[in-house]
Amino acid sequence: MTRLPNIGNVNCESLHQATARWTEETSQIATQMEPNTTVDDLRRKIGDIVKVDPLLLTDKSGPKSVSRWDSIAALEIISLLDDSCGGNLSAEEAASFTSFGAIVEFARKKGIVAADKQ
Amino acid sequence: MKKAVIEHIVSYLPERRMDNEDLVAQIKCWTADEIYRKTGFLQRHIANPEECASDLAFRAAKKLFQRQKGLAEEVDFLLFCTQSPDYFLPTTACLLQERLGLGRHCGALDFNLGCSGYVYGLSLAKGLIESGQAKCVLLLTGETYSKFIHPLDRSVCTLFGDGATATIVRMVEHAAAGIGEFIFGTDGRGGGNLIVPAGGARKPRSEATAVETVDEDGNVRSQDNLYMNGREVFRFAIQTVPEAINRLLIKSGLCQDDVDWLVLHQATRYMLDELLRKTRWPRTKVPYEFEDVGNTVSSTIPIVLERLIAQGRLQTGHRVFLVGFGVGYSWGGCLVQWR
Repeated sequence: MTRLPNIGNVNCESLHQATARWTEETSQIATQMEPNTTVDDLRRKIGDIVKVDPLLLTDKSGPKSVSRWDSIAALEIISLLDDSCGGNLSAEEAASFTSFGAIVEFARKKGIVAADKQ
Repeated sequence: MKKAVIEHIVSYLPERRMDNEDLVAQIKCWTADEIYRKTGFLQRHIANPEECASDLAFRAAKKLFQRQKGLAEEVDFLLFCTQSPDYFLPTTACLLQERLGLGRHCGALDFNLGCSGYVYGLSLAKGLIESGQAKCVLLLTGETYSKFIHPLDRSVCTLFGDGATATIVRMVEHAAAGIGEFIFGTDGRGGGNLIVPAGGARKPRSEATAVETVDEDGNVRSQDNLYMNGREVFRFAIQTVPEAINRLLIKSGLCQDDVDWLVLHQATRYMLDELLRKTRWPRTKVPYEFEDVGNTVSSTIPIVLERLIAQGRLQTGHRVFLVGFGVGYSWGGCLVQWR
Protein backbone atom coordinates (compact mmCIF):
# COMPACT_ATOMS: atom_id res chain seq x y z
CA MET A 1 0.00 0.00 0.00
CA THR A 2 1.51 3.32 -1.06
CA ARG A 3 1.91 5.57 1.96
CA LEU A 4 0.48 9.02 1.80
CA PRO A 5 2.84 11.91 1.11
CA ASN A 6 4.18 13.53 4.27
CA ILE A 7 3.27 17.14 3.79
CA GLY A 8 4.53 18.46 7.09
CA ASN A 9 2.49 21.28 8.58
CA VAL A 10 -0.91 21.23 6.97
CA ASN A 11 -2.23 24.33 5.31
CA CYS A 12 -5.07 24.52 2.83
CA GLU A 13 -2.87 24.96 -0.25
CA SER A 14 -0.51 22.06 0.51
CA LEU A 15 -3.46 19.86 1.48
CA HIS A 16 -5.10 20.64 -1.87
CA GLN A 17 -1.93 19.85 -3.83
CA ALA A 18 -1.26 16.64 -1.93
CA THR A 19 -4.85 15.51 -2.41
CA ALA A 20 -4.77 16.24 -6.15
CA ARG A 21 -1.55 14.27 -6.55
CA TRP A 22 -2.89 11.35 -4.50
CA THR A 23 -6.21 11.31 -6.36
CA GLU A 24 -4.43 11.24 -9.72
CA GLU A 25 -2.26 8.30 -8.62
CA THR A 26 -5.14 6.23 -7.25
CA SER A 27 -7.53 6.95 -10.15
CA GLN A 28 -5.11 5.20 -12.46
CA ILE A 29 -5.40 2.07 -10.31
CA ALA A 30 -9.20 2.01 -10.24
CA THR A 31 -9.96 2.06 -13.99
CA GLN A 32 -11.95 -0.87 -15.29
CA MET A 33 -10.95 -0.64 -18.95
CA GLU A 34 -7.68 -1.72 -20.44
CA PRO A 35 -5.61 0.51 -22.69
CA ASN A 36 -6.44 0.18 -26.42
CA THR A 37 -10.03 -0.78 -25.73
CA THR A 38 -12.01 -1.35 -28.92
CA VAL A 39 -15.69 -0.90 -29.61
CA ASP A 40 -16.06 -4.68 -29.40
CA ASP A 41 -14.43 -4.66 -25.94
CA LEU A 42 -16.86 -1.94 -24.89
CA ARG A 43 -19.74 -3.93 -26.37
CA ARG A 44 -18.72 -6.94 -24.27
CA LYS A 45 -18.51 -4.82 -21.10
CA ILE A 46 -21.90 -3.23 -21.68
CA GLY A 47 -23.36 -6.60 -22.62
CA ASP A 48 -22.11 -7.98 -19.28
CA ILE A 49 -23.69 -5.10 -17.41
CA VAL A 50 -27.10 -5.31 -19.09
CA LYS A 51 -27.00 -9.13 -19.25
CA VAL A 52 -27.42 -9.32 -23.00
CA ASP A 53 -25.43 -11.16 -25.68
CA PRO A 54 -23.05 -8.42 -26.88
CA LEU A 55 -23.77 -9.35 -30.48
CA LEU A 56 -27.39 -8.31 -29.93
CA LEU A 57 -26.45 -4.77 -28.86
CA THR A 58 -27.10 -2.19 -31.55
CA ASP A 59 -26.59 1.54 -31.56
CA LYS A 60 -30.25 1.96 -30.62
CA SER A 61 -30.16 -0.51 -27.71
CA GLY A 62 -31.02 1.23 -24.47
CA PRO A 63 -33.17 1.12 -21.31
CA LYS A 64 -36.42 1.01 -23.31
CA SER A 65 -35.39 -1.95 -25.46
CA VAL A 66 -33.22 -3.99 -23.07
CA SER A 67 -35.09 -5.18 -19.99
CA ARG A 68 -32.02 -5.50 -17.76
CA TRP A 69 -30.78 -2.01 -18.67
CA ASP A 70 -32.32 -0.84 -15.42
CA SER A 71 -31.32 1.73 -12.82
CA ILE A 72 -28.50 -0.41 -11.44
CA ALA A 73 -27.15 -1.09 -14.93
CA ALA A 74 -27.22 2.66 -15.60
CA LEU A 75 -25.11 3.22 -12.48
CA GLU A 76 -22.66 0.52 -13.50
CA ILE A 77 -22.26 2.16 -16.89
CA ILE A 78 -21.67 5.54 -15.26
CA SER A 79 -19.05 4.00 -12.98
CA LEU A 80 -17.31 2.24 -15.88
CA LEU A 81 -17.06 5.38 -17.97
CA ASP A 82 -16.24 7.65 -15.03
CA ASP A 83 -13.24 5.45 -14.27
CA SER A 84 -12.16 5.70 -17.91
CA CYS A 85 -12.33 9.50 -17.73
CA GLY A 86 -10.12 9.60 -14.67
CA GLY A 87 -13.06 10.35 -12.43
CA ASN A 88 -14.04 13.47 -14.35
CA LEU A 89 -17.29 12.43 -16.00
CA SER A 90 -19.59 15.44 -16.07
CA ALA A 91 -23.30 15.45 -15.23
CA GLU A 92 -24.17 16.19 -18.86
CA GLU A 93 -21.99 13.34 -20.13
CA ALA A 94 -23.52 10.88 -17.65
CA ALA A 95 -27.01 11.93 -18.68
CA SER A 96 -26.18 11.23 -22.33
CA PHE A 97 -25.73 7.45 -21.87
CA THR A 98 -29.22 6.64 -23.12
CA SER A 99 -28.20 4.09 -25.77
CA PHE A 100 -25.27 1.92 -26.72
CA GLY A 101 -24.65 4.18 -29.70
CA ALA A 102 -24.44 7.24 -27.45
CA ILE A 103 -21.97 5.43 -25.21
CA VAL A 104 -19.76 4.49 -28.17
CA GLU A 105 -19.87 8.06 -29.46
CA PHE A 106 -18.79 9.34 -26.05
CA ALA A 107 -16.03 6.74 -25.78
CA ARG A 108 -14.66 7.65 -29.22
CA LYS A 109 -14.75 11.37 -28.43
CA LYS A 110 -12.83 10.81 -25.21
CA GLY A 111 -10.31 8.48 -26.80
CA ILE A 112 -11.41 5.61 -24.55
CA VAL A 113 -11.90 3.31 -27.53
CA ALA A 114 -9.46 2.81 -30.35
CA ALA A 115 -10.41 1.86 -33.89
CA ASP A 116 -12.06 -1.57 -34.31
CA LYS A 117 -9.67 -4.49 -34.89
CA GLN A 118 -9.67 -5.76 -38.46
CA MET B 1 -6.84 20.94 27.05
CA LYS B 2 -10.55 20.35 26.50
CA LYS B 3 -11.43 17.49 24.22
CA ALA B 4 -14.85 16.55 22.76
CA VAL B 5 -15.63 12.89 23.22
CA ILE B 6 -18.59 10.82 22.02
CA GLU B 7 -20.05 9.21 25.08
CA HIS B 8 -23.40 7.59 24.25
CA ILE B 9 -25.33 6.82 21.08
CA VAL B 10 -28.92 5.54 21.00
CA SER B 11 -31.30 5.13 18.09
CA TYR B 12 -35.08 5.04 17.80
CA LEU B 13 -36.91 3.53 14.84
CA PRO B 14 -40.69 3.81 14.31
CA GLU B 15 -42.62 0.64 14.98
CA ARG B 16 -44.33 0.50 11.61
CA ARG B 17 -42.29 -1.36 9.00
CA MET B 18 -42.48 -1.61 5.26
CA ASP B 19 -40.77 -4.63 3.78
CA ASN B 20 -40.18 -5.38 0.12
CA GLU B 21 -43.39 -7.40 -0.23
CA ASP B 22 -45.34 -4.38 1.05
CA LEU B 23 -43.58 -2.25 -1.54
CA VAL B 24 -44.37 -4.66 -4.35
CA ALA B 25 -48.07 -4.38 -3.43
CA GLN B 26 -47.74 -0.60 -3.36
CA ILE B 27 -45.78 0.08 -6.54
CA LYS B 28 -47.18 -2.88 -8.47
CA CYS B 29 -44.02 -3.65 -10.31
CA TRP B 30 -40.72 -5.37 -9.57
CA THR B 31 -40.49 -8.31 -7.22
CA ALA B 32 -39.27 -8.30 -3.64
CA ASP B 33 -36.04 -9.88 -4.84
CA GLU B 34 -35.57 -7.16 -7.45
CA ILE B 35 -36.01 -4.45 -4.83
CA TYR B 36 -33.43 -6.16 -2.62
CA ARG B 37 -31.03 -6.55 -5.54
CA LYS B 38 -31.36 -2.91 -6.50
CA THR B 39 -31.14 -1.42 -3.02
CA GLY B 40 -29.72 -3.91 -0.54
CA PHE B 41 -32.67 -3.19 1.77
CA LEU B 42 -35.14 -5.72 3.14
CA GLN B 43 -37.30 -3.31 5.11
CA ARG B 44 -37.64 0.30 6.25
CA HIS B 45 -39.25 1.78 9.36
CA ILE B 46 -41.94 4.33 8.56
CA ALA B 47 -43.35 6.97 10.92
CA ASN B 48 -47.10 7.04 11.50
CA PRO B 49 -48.99 9.97 9.99
CA GLU B 50 -49.06 11.78 13.33
CA GLU B 51 -45.38 11.07 14.16
CA CYS B 52 -42.96 13.88 13.37
CA ALA B 53 -39.17 13.69 13.11
CA SER B 54 -39.03 15.51 16.45
CA ASP B 55 -41.13 12.75 18.04
CA LEU B 56 -38.63 10.15 16.88
CA ALA B 57 -35.74 12.25 18.18
CA PHE B 58 -37.59 12.79 21.46
CA ARG B 59 -37.97 9.03 21.90
CA ALA B 60 -34.29 8.43 21.12
CA ALA B 61 -33.30 11.01 23.73
CA LYS B 62 -35.72 9.58 26.31
CA LYS B 63 -34.27 6.13 25.75
CA LEU B 64 -30.83 7.59 26.37
CA PHE B 65 -31.90 9.41 29.53
CA GLN B 66 -33.59 6.27 30.89
CA ARG B 67 -30.30 4.40 30.51
CA GLN B 68 -28.18 7.20 31.97
CA LYS B 69 -29.88 8.69 35.02
CA GLY B 70 -29.13 12.32 35.68
CA LEU B 71 -27.82 12.93 32.19
CA ALA B 72 -30.64 15.29 31.13
CA GLU B 73 -29.61 17.76 33.86
CA GLU B 74 -26.06 17.87 32.49
CA VAL B 75 -26.99 18.77 28.90
CA ASP B 76 -26.14 22.41 28.24
CA PHE B 77 -26.59 22.45 24.46
CA LEU B 78 -29.05 20.72 22.13
CA LEU B 79 -28.38 20.35 18.39
CA PHE B 80 -31.16 18.91 16.22
CA CYS B 81 -30.34 17.83 12.68
CA THR B 82 -33.47 17.49 10.58
CA GLN B 83 -34.94 18.43 7.23
CA SER B 84 -38.44 17.82 8.62
CA PRO B 85 -38.95 20.47 11.32
CA ASP B 86 -42.25 20.65 13.18
CA TYR B 87 -42.81 24.23 11.95
CA PHE B 88 -40.98 26.86 9.94
CA LEU B 89 -40.81 28.59 13.28
CA PRO B 90 -40.32 28.23 16.15
CA THR B 91 -37.12 26.17 16.11
CA THR B 92 -37.92 22.52 16.78
CA ALA B 93 -34.92 22.21 19.12
CA CYS B 94 -36.57 24.80 21.37
CA LEU B 95 -39.70 22.66 21.55
CA LEU B 96 -37.56 19.59 22.26
CA GLN B 97 -35.80 21.43 25.09
CA GLU B 98 -39.16 21.83 26.79
CA ARG B 99 -40.38 18.30 26.02
CA LEU B 100 -37.16 16.73 27.29
CA GLY B 101 -37.11 18.85 30.43
CA LEU B 102 -33.68 20.28 29.69
CA GLY B 103 -32.55 23.26 31.70
CA ARG B 104 -33.42 26.74 30.52
CA HIS B 105 -29.72 27.62 30.54
CA CYS B 106 -29.37 25.25 27.56
CA GLY B 107 -28.58 26.50 24.06
CA ALA B 108 -30.67 24.87 21.32
CA LEU B 109 -30.77 25.05 17.57
CA ASP B 110 -31.85 23.12 14.50
CA PHE B 111 -29.64 22.63 11.52
CA ASN B 112 -30.95 21.53 8.15
CA LEU B 113 -28.73 18.86 6.66
CA GLY B 114 -29.34 15.34 5.44
CA CYS B 115 -26.85 12.59 4.85
CA SER B 116 -23.84 14.66 5.94
CA GLY B 117 -25.68 15.95 9.01
CA TYR B 118 -24.19 13.73 11.70
CA VAL B 119 -20.63 14.66 10.77
CA TYR B 120 -21.52 18.36 10.73
CA GLY B 121 -23.29 17.91 14.06
CA LEU B 122 -20.15 16.44 15.59
CA SER B 123 -18.20 19.38 14.22
CA LEU B 124 -20.59 21.85 15.84
CA ALA B 125 -20.48 19.93 19.10
CA LYS B 126 -16.68 19.81 19.06
CA GLY B 127 -16.52 23.54 18.38
CA LEU B 128 -18.87 24.35 21.25
CA ILE B 129 -16.98 22.14 23.65
CA GLU B 130 -13.39 22.90 22.75
CA SER B 131 -14.09 26.63 22.73
CA GLY B 132 -15.46 26.37 26.24
CA GLN B 133 -19.05 27.26 25.33
CA ALA B 134 -20.57 23.94 26.35
CA LYS B 135 -19.67 20.85 28.30
CA CYS B 136 -22.36 18.33 27.41
CA VAL B 137 -23.98 18.47 23.98
CA LEU B 138 -27.02 16.41 23.04
CA LEU B 139 -26.85 15.86 19.27
CA LEU B 140 -30.12 14.58 17.83
CA THR B 141 -30.79 13.42 14.30
CA GLY B 142 -34.35 12.78 13.14
CA GLU B 143 -35.88 12.31 9.74
CA THR B 144 -39.19 11.39 8.16
CA TYR B 145 -38.49 11.45 4.41
CA SER B 146 -41.39 9.03 4.05
CA LYS B 147 -43.74 12.00 4.43
CA PHE B 148 -42.25 13.63 1.33
CA ILE B 149 -42.24 10.50 -0.82
CA HIS B 150 -44.99 9.69 -3.33
CA PRO B 151 -46.03 6.05 -2.84
CA LEU B 152 -45.71 5.40 -6.58
CA ASP B 153 -42.20 6.83 -6.93
CA ARG B 154 -40.11 3.69 -6.79
CA SER B 155 -36.87 5.66 -7.27
CA VAL B 156 -37.16 6.81 -3.66
CA CYS B 157 -39.85 4.83 -1.82
CA THR B 158 -37.65 1.74 -1.99
CA LEU B 159 -34.70 3.54 -0.39
CA PHE B 160 -35.55 5.80 2.51
CA GLY B 161 -36.54 4.82 6.02
CA ASP B 162 -37.44 7.01 9.00
CA GLY B 163 -35.49 7.08 12.21
CA ALA B 164 -33.69 9.13 14.84
CA THR B 165 -30.62 9.01 17.05
CA ALA B 166 -29.38 10.71 20.19
CA THR B 167 -25.68 11.19 20.87
CA ILE B 168 -23.97 12.75 23.86
CA VAL B 169 -20.74 14.61 23.14
CA ARG B 170 -18.98 15.57 26.34
CA MET B 171 -16.03 17.70 27.33
CA VAL B 172 -13.19 15.73 28.85
CA GLU B 173 -10.04 17.40 30.13
CA HIS B 174 -6.75 16.09 28.82
CA ALA B 175 -8.23 13.16 26.89
CA ALA B 176 -5.93 11.51 24.39
CA ALA B 177 -8.88 10.22 22.37
CA GLY B 178 -11.94 12.01 21.03
CA ILE B 179 -13.25 13.80 17.98
CA GLY B 180 -10.38 14.79 15.73
CA GLU B 181 -9.86 16.33 12.30
CA PHE B 182 -12.64 17.26 9.91
CA ILE B 183 -12.99 17.84 6.19
CA PHE B 184 -16.02 19.45 4.59
CA GLY B 185 -17.42 20.00 1.14
CA THR B 186 -20.34 21.72 -0.49
CA ASP B 187 -21.52 21.96 -4.09
CA GLY B 188 -24.82 23.75 -4.46
CA ARG B 189 -24.93 22.91 -8.18
CA GLY B 190 -26.29 19.56 -7.02
CA GLY B 191 -29.16 21.06 -5.05
CA GLY B 192 -31.76 20.25 -7.65
CA ASN B 193 -30.85 16.57 -7.76
CA LEU B 194 -32.27 15.72 -4.35
CA ILE B 195 -35.02 18.13 -3.47
CA VAL B 196 -38.59 18.69 -2.34
CA PRO B 197 -39.32 21.56 -4.73
CA ALA B 198 -42.45 23.01 -3.10
CA GLY B 199 -43.41 23.84 0.45
CA GLY B 200 -40.68 26.27 1.38
CA ALA B 201 -40.41 30.01 0.95
CA ARG B 202 -39.08 29.75 -2.63
CA LYS B 203 -42.19 27.90 -3.87
CA PRO B 204 -45.11 27.60 -1.44
CA ARG B 205 -47.46 24.68 -1.85
CA SER B 206 -50.47 25.27 -4.08
CA GLU B 207 -52.92 23.40 -6.27
CA ALA B 208 -50.39 23.68 -9.06
CA THR B 209 -47.54 22.13 -7.08
CA ALA B 210 -49.77 19.20 -6.12
CA VAL B 211 -50.30 18.17 -9.74
CA GLU B 212 -48.82 14.71 -10.26
CA THR B 213 -46.66 13.86 -13.23
CA VAL B 214 -45.15 10.63 -14.49
CA ASP B 215 -41.47 10.61 -15.44
CA GLU B 216 -39.87 8.60 -18.25
CA ASP B 217 -39.24 5.69 -15.84
CA GLY B 218 -42.90 5.58 -14.79
CA ASN B 219 -42.38 7.18 -11.38
CA VAL B 220 -45.20 9.38 -10.12
CA ARG B 221 -44.61 12.52 -8.10
CA SER B 222 -45.61 16.14 -7.72
CA GLN B 223 -43.54 19.15 -6.73
CA ASP B 224 -44.69 18.53 -3.16
CA ASN B 225 -42.81 15.23 -3.20
CA LEU B 226 -39.16 14.25 -2.89
CA TYR B 227 -37.33 14.07 -6.21
CA MET B 228 -33.97 12.37 -6.62
CA ASN B 229 -31.89 12.14 -9.77
CA GLY B 230 -30.32 8.84 -8.73
CA ARG B 231 -27.81 8.63 -11.56
CA GLU B 232 -26.48 12.10 -10.92
CA VAL B 233 -26.33 11.66 -7.15
CA PHE B 234 -24.41 8.43 -7.73
CA ARG B 235 -21.94 10.19 -10.07
CA PHE B 236 -21.41 12.91 -7.47
CA ALA B 237 -20.75 10.35 -4.74
CA ILE B 238 -18.28 8.16 -6.63
CA GLN B 239 -16.28 11.21 -7.67
CA THR B 240 -16.42 13.10 -4.38
CA VAL B 241 -16.24 10.54 -1.60
CA PRO B 242 -12.94 8.87 -2.53
CA GLU B 243 -11.28 12.27 -2.73
CA ALA B 244 -12.83 13.28 0.59
CA ILE B 245 -11.51 10.15 2.28
CA ASN B 246 -8.06 10.88 0.90
CA ARG B 247 -8.22 14.46 2.18
CA LEU B 248 -9.16 13.17 5.60
CA LEU B 249 -6.27 10.70 5.60
CA ILE B 250 -3.86 13.47 4.66
CA LYS B 251 -5.25 15.92 7.18
CA SER B 252 -5.14 13.29 9.91
CA GLY B 253 -1.61 12.26 8.97
CA LEU B 254 -2.76 8.66 8.60
CA CYS B 255 -2.81 5.98 5.96
CA GLN B 256 -5.49 3.38 5.35
CA ASP B 257 -3.71 0.79 7.48
CA ASP B 258 -3.85 3.14 10.49
CA VAL B 259 -7.65 3.43 10.41
CA ASP B 260 -9.71 0.69 12.01
CA TRP B 261 -13.16 1.60 10.64
CA LEU B 262 -14.51 3.57 7.72
CA VAL B 263 -18.15 4.31 8.49
CA LEU B 264 -19.81 5.63 5.34
CA HIS B 265 -23.30 7.06 5.02
CA GLN B 266 -25.39 3.97 4.26
CA ALA B 267 -26.90 5.23 1.01
CA THR B 268 -27.52 1.92 -0.78
CA ARG B 269 -25.59 -1.31 -1.07
CA TYR B 270 -24.49 -0.61 -4.63
CA MET B 271 -23.16 2.80 -3.63
CA LEU B 272 -21.09 1.29 -0.82
CA ASP B 273 -19.84 -1.52 -3.08
CA GLU B 274 -18.71 1.00 -5.69
CA LEU B 275 -17.00 3.23 -3.15
CA LEU B 276 -15.13 0.24 -1.77
CA ARG B 277 -14.06 -0.77 -5.26
CA LYS B 278 -12.83 2.72 -6.10
CA THR B 279 -11.05 3.37 -2.81
CA ARG B 280 -9.75 -0.19 -2.26
CA TRP B 281 -10.63 -0.16 1.40
CA PRO B 282 -11.00 -3.69 2.78
CA ARG B 283 -14.57 -4.78 3.34
CA THR B 284 -13.66 -5.86 6.89
CA LYS B 285 -13.16 -2.20 7.84
CA VAL B 286 -16.34 -0.88 6.24
CA PRO B 287 -19.53 -1.86 8.07
CA TYR B 288 -22.77 -2.47 6.18
CA GLU B 289 -25.67 -1.99 8.58
CA PHE B 290 -28.69 -1.08 6.53
CA GLU B 291 -30.69 -4.10 5.39
CA ASP B 292 -33.33 -3.76 8.09
CA VAL B 293 -33.57 0.05 8.25
CA GLY B 294 -33.01 1.47 4.75
CA ASN B 295 -31.41 4.85 4.20
CA THR B 296 -32.22 6.86 7.33
CA VAL B 297 -30.44 9.98 6.07
CA SER B 298 -28.57 11.73 8.93
CA SER B 299 -29.12 8.75 11.24
CA THR B 300 -27.27 6.14 9.18
CA ILE B 301 -23.82 6.84 10.60
CA PRO B 302 -24.81 6.91 14.31
CA ILE B 303 -26.92 3.76 13.81
CA VAL B 304 -23.82 1.98 12.47
CA LEU B 305 -21.77 3.20 15.43
CA GLU B 306 -24.43 2.09 17.89
CA ARG B 307 -24.41 -1.38 16.36
CA LEU B 308 -20.64 -1.66 16.31
CA ILE B 309 -20.60 -0.78 20.01
CA ALA B 310 -23.35 -3.27 20.82
CA GLN B 311 -21.52 -5.99 18.88
CA GLY B 312 -18.32 -5.29 20.82
CA ARG B 313 -16.44 -4.52 17.62
CA LEU B 314 -15.71 -0.86 18.36
CA GLN B 315 -13.00 -0.74 20.95
CA THR B 316 -11.22 1.92 22.96
CA GLY B 317 -8.36 3.33 20.90
CA HIS B 318 -9.87 2.46 17.53
CA ARG B 319 -9.50 5.13 14.87
CA VAL B 320 -12.79 5.61 13.07
CA PHE B 321 -13.48 7.63 9.95
CA LEU B 322 -17.04 8.89 9.59
CA VAL B 323 -17.98 10.11 6.11
CA GLY B 324 -21.42 11.52 5.26
CA PHE B 325 -22.42 12.71 1.78
CA GLY B 326 -25.57 13.56 -0.12
CA VAL B 327 -28.34 16.12 -0.30
CA GLY B 328 -27.11 19.66 -0.95
CA TYR B 329 -24.70 18.52 -2.21
CA SER B 330 -22.99 18.43 1.16
CA TRP B 331 -20.32 16.13 2.48
CA GLY B 332 -18.09 15.87 5.48
CA GLY B 333 -15.72 13.49 7.17
CA CYS B 334 -14.07 13.24 10.53
CA LEU B 335 -11.70 11.12 12.51
CA VAL B 336 -12.87 9.86 15.88
CA GLN B 337 -10.43 8.11 18.15
CA TRP B 338 -12.72 5.93 20.22
CA ARG B 339 -12.62 6.35 23.94
